[in-house]
Amino acid sequence: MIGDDKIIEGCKKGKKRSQNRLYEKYAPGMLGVCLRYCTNMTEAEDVLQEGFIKVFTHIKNFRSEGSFEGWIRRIMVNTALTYIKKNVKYSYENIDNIPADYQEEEVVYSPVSPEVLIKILQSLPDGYRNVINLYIFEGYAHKEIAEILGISESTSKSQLSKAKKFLRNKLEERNKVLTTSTANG
Amino acid sequence: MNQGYKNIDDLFRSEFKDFELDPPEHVWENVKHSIPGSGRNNPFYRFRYGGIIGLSSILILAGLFSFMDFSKTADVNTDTVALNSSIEGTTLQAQEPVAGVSDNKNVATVEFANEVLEYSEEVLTQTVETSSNITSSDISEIENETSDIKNNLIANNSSSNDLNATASSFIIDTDTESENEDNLLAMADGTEQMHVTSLPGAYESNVKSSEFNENQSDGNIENEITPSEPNTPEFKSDYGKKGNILLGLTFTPEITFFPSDNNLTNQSYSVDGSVIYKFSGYLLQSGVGVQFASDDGNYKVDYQKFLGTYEDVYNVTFDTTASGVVPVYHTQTVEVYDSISRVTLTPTKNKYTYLQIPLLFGYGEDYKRISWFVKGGPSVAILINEGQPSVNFDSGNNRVLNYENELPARINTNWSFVFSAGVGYKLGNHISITLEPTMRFYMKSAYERNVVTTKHPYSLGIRTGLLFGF
Repeated sequence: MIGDDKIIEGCKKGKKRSQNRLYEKYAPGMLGVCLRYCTNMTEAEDVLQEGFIKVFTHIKNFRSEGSFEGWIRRIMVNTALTYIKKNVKYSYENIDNIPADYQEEEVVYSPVSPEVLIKILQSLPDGYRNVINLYIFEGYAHKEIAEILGISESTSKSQLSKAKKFLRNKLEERNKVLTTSTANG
Repeated sequence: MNQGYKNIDDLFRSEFKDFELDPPEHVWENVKHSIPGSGRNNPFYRFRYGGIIGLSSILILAGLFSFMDFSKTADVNTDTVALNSSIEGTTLQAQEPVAGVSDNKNVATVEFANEVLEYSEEVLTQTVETSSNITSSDISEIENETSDIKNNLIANNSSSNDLNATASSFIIDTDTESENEDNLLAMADGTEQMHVTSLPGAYESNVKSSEFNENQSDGNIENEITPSEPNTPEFKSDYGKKGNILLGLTFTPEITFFPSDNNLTNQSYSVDGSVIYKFSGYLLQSGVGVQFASDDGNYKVDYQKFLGTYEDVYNVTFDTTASGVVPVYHTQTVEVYDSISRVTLTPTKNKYTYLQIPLLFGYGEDYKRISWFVKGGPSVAILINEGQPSVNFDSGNNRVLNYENELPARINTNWSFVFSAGVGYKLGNHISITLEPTMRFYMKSAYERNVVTTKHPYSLGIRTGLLFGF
């Protein structure tokens, strides 16, 4: 197995083989990332393509000071956000009457497959989805999210609360459906 | 196995931790072709045909000219060596009685010369047999001519240069006659002149005989005849200066860089015809060239994805039949497109042809076969043709809203300063090959103002070609 250092060096020299290796190694994971931000697979593929072009274009600027995967991931996230901003109007419409200071109740969630979670995430309006992605998966604070998305910190917080409530409702609905199906079966 | 998560954050983080999906192949294909510096975007990739053809043409031409020139030189050399050898053969024959000096080298030389003469006699015999179709008047004419040359040599105590000069005229004469006359020449001389060259080592015999003559300075006229330097016969190309005017045919692949945009480079190649006037080491060059350039870029296509169709009922009428009133639905097929417009990029290549006129001033020096030079000056490029292919996008059922060529427009006239330093190598008296790295500074961007912020681009290239001197 060839390490990242050699792959990076090869890519910096423009070696096609290294570029191919890098893509094969990271593209599947990054497609998962893109899919979380986008509403469907076609959009996710577009973002992935654009993101990797940026990776190969700017790889000569990568200094091996941090995680390479993290660097690629940041590029993908930024590309996805730009893509959404360019192609889709942010929507922050109210998804219900959940108060901004909503506190998640203590419940236990059953494991759910990523494919199902993706579908639930994709059913969220773009604005909410962006906030929840940046907060849960990328680990940004509300202040950073506000700067990235160009919204206020309080908006970020309220979007997160509402998004979580929305997701919980969706998961509960799904659970009920599953329970009903099982009972009928 | 995990039985549950306490909150949504954990659920999502954990489930997506190793979540991967294989992307379809076309994504990598698109990425591969869009990577700067590889494939179609590689600066040298675009030179592959032009470069190969240009370089091959130059090498073939150079080889052709070199071969032609060399062949001519070789013929002259052969005759020259033959003549020198024969004369020295004669000299050695006359000096044999005094060859018994204790110098082993000279003894060996005389022995070797005798071998040469014996071999030559054999060849002479064969030549006489095969030359029976030559008339006696031809023979006597050449005999007289040869005799005159020998007499001149002895009577005037000629220097080696005189000898060569005489030999030159002699050879030129024989060149104009038939091949059989060459054979007769050998017979008329009474020695084995022309055929000595066919003997392996004949050329060496010339050198050794020369040494012998130098050592035997006994006042004989023959001893004072020093053969010309075998390596530099006067009949050979001397590669000296052949005039002040040179005509050039050159090929130049070039890469242009834009300092304000690391990702933007474009490539071109040009074919130039030039005239160079040389005076006192200085040179003035002008000419005309055609430059072929291209820009790789994209068409940006906005389209809406086709989702399907439905039958739209736009009218309902009622027909009265025997069984009652029957509704008739009038429908039309409506195509449905995604409300979100999508953007895709399709590659395209704009091609440009420029007419180039340089005016260069420089300095250089010529040596035997090598020369060097530096030069610089302004050059103007005028856009004479532009080719912009139409968008290559298969929309299928999708609806194209708009498409736009993202490549910036080029300006029609561009001035630049060209600097170059190079070397030339003479392949013959009148032809040389040149290799000349060039650097060009553009006075302004090659593109329309305010479209690309790329002021003062520069380019690097290598000019190769042939120069013909007159």
